[in-house]
Amino acid sequence: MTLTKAERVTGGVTAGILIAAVIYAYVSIGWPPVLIIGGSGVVTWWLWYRTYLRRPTDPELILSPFLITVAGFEIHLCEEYLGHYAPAISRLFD
Amino acid sequence: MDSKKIDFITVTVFVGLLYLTFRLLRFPAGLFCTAFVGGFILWLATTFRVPLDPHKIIFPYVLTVILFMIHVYEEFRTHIEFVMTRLTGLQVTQRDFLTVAAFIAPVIWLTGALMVLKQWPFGFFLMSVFFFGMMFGEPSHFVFPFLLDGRFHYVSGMCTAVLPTAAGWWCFFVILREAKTVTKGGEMARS
Repeated sequence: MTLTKAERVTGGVTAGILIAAVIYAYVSIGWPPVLIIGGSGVVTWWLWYRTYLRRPTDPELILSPFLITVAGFEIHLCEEYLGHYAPAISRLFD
Repeated sequence: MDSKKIDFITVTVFVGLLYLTFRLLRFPAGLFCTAFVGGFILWLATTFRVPLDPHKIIFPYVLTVILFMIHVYEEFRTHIEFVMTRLTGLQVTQRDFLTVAAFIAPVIWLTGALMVLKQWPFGFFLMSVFFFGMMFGEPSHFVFPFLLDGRFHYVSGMCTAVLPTAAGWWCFFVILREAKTVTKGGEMARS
């Protein structure tokens, strides 16, 4: 799959933001977020390598379910915020 | 009754009900409904009249939602709730602000994006409300200091307000360009 310069730059910037967010999480919280995000990231990288990279999915097919998932995640985050998830996860990891 | 009339009546009833709800909740209904009325006018002037290919607008739309969320993060870090409390006279807490701006609003705008992808008229209306808010609502951050103290100074959200504002105007010009292309294509087909 050949990428255009714009696609390479966008991908690089997005990856950079993600890495910066994980570093910020490590500095401000510690290892748990690095393991949770980094662990999922490694598994996802393998899945992406085995599936999408070999046979890219048509964006028309995947965009709607992706946006529904993001909206669903936002609703879930709202419940976590209102239900005081932060203190609960702090107790879990001590 | 044709589908355009039904769409028009549905959205008019929706905006009316929203206004009544805000009045019943004793919120400043006029202020809260400005974006919806503005978006309604924008929708009537653009995508209601000329159908738009969702694939032409979805990228700028989702990008504007992302920039809006970055802007909300600045507002959260710099405590916009104090500014809102002083401006509206209502007691706005950080919990209220985050629930509405950081959680509920993105869900509504993403739902709008999904409806646009399905070419549902209500989705185009929600998209217009969002664009109207970004184009005309976000620049108000630069007016806030004058309303508060009568002089220019930093107010929460001022640094990143330009991001969703610029993106909102970009989306508006994309819609205009596409509408022009569709209209021209229709005229050529007729002649």
